[in-house]
Amino acid sequence: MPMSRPPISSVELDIPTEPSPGSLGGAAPVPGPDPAVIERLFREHNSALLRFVAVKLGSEQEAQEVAQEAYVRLLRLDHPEAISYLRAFLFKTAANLALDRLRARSRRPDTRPLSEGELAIFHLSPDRQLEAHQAMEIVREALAELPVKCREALLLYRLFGLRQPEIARRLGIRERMVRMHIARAIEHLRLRMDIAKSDSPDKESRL
Amino acid sequence: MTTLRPSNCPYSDLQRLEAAQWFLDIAEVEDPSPEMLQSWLSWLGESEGNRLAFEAVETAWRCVPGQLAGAAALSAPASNGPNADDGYDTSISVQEWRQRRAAPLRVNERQRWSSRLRPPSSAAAAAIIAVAISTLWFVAPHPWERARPPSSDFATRTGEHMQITLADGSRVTLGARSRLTVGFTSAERTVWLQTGEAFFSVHKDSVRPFKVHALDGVITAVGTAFNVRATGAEVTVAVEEGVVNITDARHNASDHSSAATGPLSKVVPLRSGEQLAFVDRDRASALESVRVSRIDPAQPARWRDGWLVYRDEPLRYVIADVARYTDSQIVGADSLPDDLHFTGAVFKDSVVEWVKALPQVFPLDIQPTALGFRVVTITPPVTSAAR
Repeated sequence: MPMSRPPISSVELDIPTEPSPGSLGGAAPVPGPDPAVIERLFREHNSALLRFVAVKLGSEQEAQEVAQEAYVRLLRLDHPEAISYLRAFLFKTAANLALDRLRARSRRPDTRPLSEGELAIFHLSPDRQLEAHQAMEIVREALAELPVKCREALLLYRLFGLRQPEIARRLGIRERMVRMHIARAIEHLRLRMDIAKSDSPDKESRL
Repeated sequence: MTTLRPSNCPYSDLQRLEAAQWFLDIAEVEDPSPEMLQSWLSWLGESEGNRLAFEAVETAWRCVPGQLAGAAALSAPASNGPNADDGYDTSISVQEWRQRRAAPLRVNERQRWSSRLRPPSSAAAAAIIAVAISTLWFVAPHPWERARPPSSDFATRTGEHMQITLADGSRVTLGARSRLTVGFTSAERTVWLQTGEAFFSVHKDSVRPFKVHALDGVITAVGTAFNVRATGAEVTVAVEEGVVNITDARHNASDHSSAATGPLSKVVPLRSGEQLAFVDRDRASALESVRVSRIDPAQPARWRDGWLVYRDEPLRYVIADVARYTDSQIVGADSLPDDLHFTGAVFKDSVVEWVKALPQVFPLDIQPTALGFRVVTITPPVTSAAR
């Protein structure tokens, strides 16, 4: 995936540097954030954090690893801060770690982003594999139903990892329309899965 | 096409679309701002449906085929030849678009009419406004929409008005982001306001009554001028001149065994200078909360000059209504409490400014989102009377 920003190897570079409201000049170094605060962050936001990273990396497994690393970096913070700041730091750190992984992937073309084989979320039983196969079939059908620009925008974005401005240039439409076309495409794929699911309600499927 | 709508889905159409949009924003953002995070987290936490929709969208995304199969799909020519522009502009869902295409008569009719009826200058404007945003307030297709193929269909985009002269000489001004279906027979002049707003100047014809369907209400006129607005679940009818009768569509239906018990189970007459509003919260239940109020008889038509006038109407419907005049997406208004009411006028070109100023008057907050604004209720402290 082409990146416009120079690579940032160290996440610490991105830490905002505003002084904390409570810190006074010359005061003794304060210990790291209160573990209770971290625990609260974990309790309230861990599932959202995992979603956040999984969206970027397409892998639950990697999302777990990144989230874990982000908590570790949070614990290394020198100054205790307001919880809203810590939360922003946590997600920002996770975003940076995810970006690092995406860059590492693009340097190794054999591990291209996501494929059928990587449908690891369905990896459980043979039944589940069948479900995954059915889901792929539904999505394939739904893809064929999409209007031209919707389909092209989605596939350029998904398969070739093009950024939205580049897709806008290629399709000759505005950037904002690219976003709407992709969103409508995803909406349609999901709708078709929901319809398929309601057609066979007896199945406890997680389509 | 077998089934068109999912059943037992734990989230709504709107939640599915919002989830898709959030999914894209989250996937794109490299450096999430605290505001964006806050906005996303509060959306996720707002309802179980939002969270489930987001996870479901994520699952769908991962089912999009991998490189080889996908590349084949990309290069496969569309049915009309490669790169044929099918005119899809994202203002409606793909599913709705496909359904409309399945009825070519309707589409052709609509295009013919709209190209003839729009003033020439608006052709260029329409092309520009084609950067339409998703219609967050669209009304799901009603049973009658499929029961009877309508003869013609008119639709406007954000901020656009349309003048229509119907076959009987009646004149209609269609407001922004509105949809009107016309189905005249020899016995009856029937139109369906699917969503949005329309002002009718009805040509007198005592033999063929003129009927406007809006949600589950039917407004019947002989010769008169009146306005109908359908926003989300609320319909308002205001009469400028003459009298109209309002009834429940189900009461009109041939099935008399299920005697309607709602407030509209009888005919409600409405006269010049009166406005009626009703809410259809659930299509299976009776229409509820009919409110009749006095208005300036000139008020119903003022929106045609750009002034959107409201009298003691629930704020959430007012926001939904003014949203038809801006490309900014305004979300979250439907969860505002019922007791916030608005009286006043909003100019159509300053809708965004009006929305931004709402926190000065109402206990709510306006947060920026990628495509517009989110309206967030602030729970007032118990003793808030002082303010």
